Amino acid sequence: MNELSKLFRDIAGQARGYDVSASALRVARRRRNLRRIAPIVLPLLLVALIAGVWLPLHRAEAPSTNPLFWLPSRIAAPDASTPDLPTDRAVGVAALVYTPCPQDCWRVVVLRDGTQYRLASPGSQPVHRLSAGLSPDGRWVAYPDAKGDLMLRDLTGRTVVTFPDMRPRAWSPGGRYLALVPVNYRSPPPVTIVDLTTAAAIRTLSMQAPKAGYAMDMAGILDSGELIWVTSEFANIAPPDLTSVPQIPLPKSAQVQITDPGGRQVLHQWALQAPAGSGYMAPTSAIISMLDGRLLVRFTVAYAWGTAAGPADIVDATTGAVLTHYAVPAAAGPFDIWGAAGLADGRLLVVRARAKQPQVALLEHTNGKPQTISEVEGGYGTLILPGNAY
Amino acid sequence: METFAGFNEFVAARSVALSRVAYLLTGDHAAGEDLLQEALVKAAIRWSKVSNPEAFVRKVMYRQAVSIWRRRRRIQVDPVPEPPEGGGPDVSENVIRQLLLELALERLTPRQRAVLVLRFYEDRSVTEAAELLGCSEGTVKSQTNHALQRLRELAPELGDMSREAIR
Repeated sequence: MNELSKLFRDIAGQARGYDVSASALRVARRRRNLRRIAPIVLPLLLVALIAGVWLPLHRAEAPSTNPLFWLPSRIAAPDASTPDLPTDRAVGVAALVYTPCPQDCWRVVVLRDGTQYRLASPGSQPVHRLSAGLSPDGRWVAYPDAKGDLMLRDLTGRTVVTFPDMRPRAWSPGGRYLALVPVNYRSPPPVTIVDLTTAAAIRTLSMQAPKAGYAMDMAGILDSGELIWVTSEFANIAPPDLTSVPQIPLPKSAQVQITDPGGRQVLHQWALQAPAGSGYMAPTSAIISMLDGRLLVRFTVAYAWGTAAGPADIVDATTGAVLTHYAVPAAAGPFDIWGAAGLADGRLLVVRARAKQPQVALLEHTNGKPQTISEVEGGYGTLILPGNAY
Repeated sequence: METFAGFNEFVAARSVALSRVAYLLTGDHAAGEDLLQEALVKAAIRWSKVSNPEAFVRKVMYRQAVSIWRRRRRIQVDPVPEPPEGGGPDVSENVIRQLLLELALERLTPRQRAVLVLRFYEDRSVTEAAELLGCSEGTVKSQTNHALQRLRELAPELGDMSREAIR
């Protein structure tokens, strides 16, 4: 034994006899029991974990957390007791305008608190049954009366202005301007600009006709007064019968021009390219001007039975660069996904009509997953959300 | 309980020897007790399958002592109190050398310390030490040399005995 070994033994001699027998057995029993129940408990914990994480997220998509606070989660079907829109007083801002059945229905405006009022009976032409508009802030509603003249009503006041033989085309995102076009027109339409601060038409402008085989339409207006025009290779905007099934296939690309308020100078110009499987169908609110200056462009998918909402892109207004892409679930039939509508804040609402329980679903920004935020009872023919015009 | 039959008797018979190894490996009573208990828990869980409990417990203690997880846990243990400086008039030279060795051992890595305990306390061969630590014989040799070299640096007073140990 050398000196080092001896020193080690001396040090070891300082060790106490650690009395750990009982505690070691206790811990061993506990661990053994845990190992026995682990095959049962772990799967249960896993299930609980998944449920605990997933369910709250799932619930977060329920109407109770509706990010569109202004849209009632349930819209009751109007009946004979639904009053006419009073002309002598303000009623408050609206959440949507719709017709509760496909044909020969009164148009109804639904306020944010769910109150409903009947608007004037639509005119006789198909375009009158479809055409209406609601300003992005829900303040102004535009709809044709029985004669087909456009009524522009301030829901927060008593102002009503009539524009004969016109229909709404586009609202500026901040609610400053409304662009009107004639009920029937040849491309490109003469555009009448209404300043909503005075409810008066401030100018009418006409653009030069595009070359043969192309159609030019007015697609949007910015709060600066600048105008958005789209020229596509053929005209499926074909007036006057807008209820007919559009031509198939839809144009895959279009040329976008943004002009000054007078329509004289082109400020920006770029090509609009439709995502695969879809096309650009002008003009019914296919382009929505957003409050931050970007554009929300909706595309259309052509099916054998007609057309339905397709994907949508948020694009840079000056370059057309795609910033955000929305995927919209494919329609299973004419009564599955009926359409879509963009909002001035960049959200995209898919209007899904299923049997007799139509729903308005909000598409998730990130993954395109729809979540139901409102249910419209009784079905409908047209449904117009703030910022849209048809 | 039947599955632990003989466990208490084994611990009663070998706890002193095992406690000494645990103390040498850790240099601290609390950590040593913890190390021994952990090894005994593992032995108890496999009690019916362990043919040589003492060898099993020692192997677990050595490997646990040098494992990275063990080292992390030791960080949380209260530091070993500083030994008294120098020696009083009644302190023998051997006690001083013990203290020096203990202080030097504190500065070694857990693996170096375990190698020294195996080689100079338990008088294990290189082969046995390698098997217990789960490493190669070359590693044991190199770790032994490094540990002794480090001891000479840390405690020159132990230089002679460390050189002697190499021979």
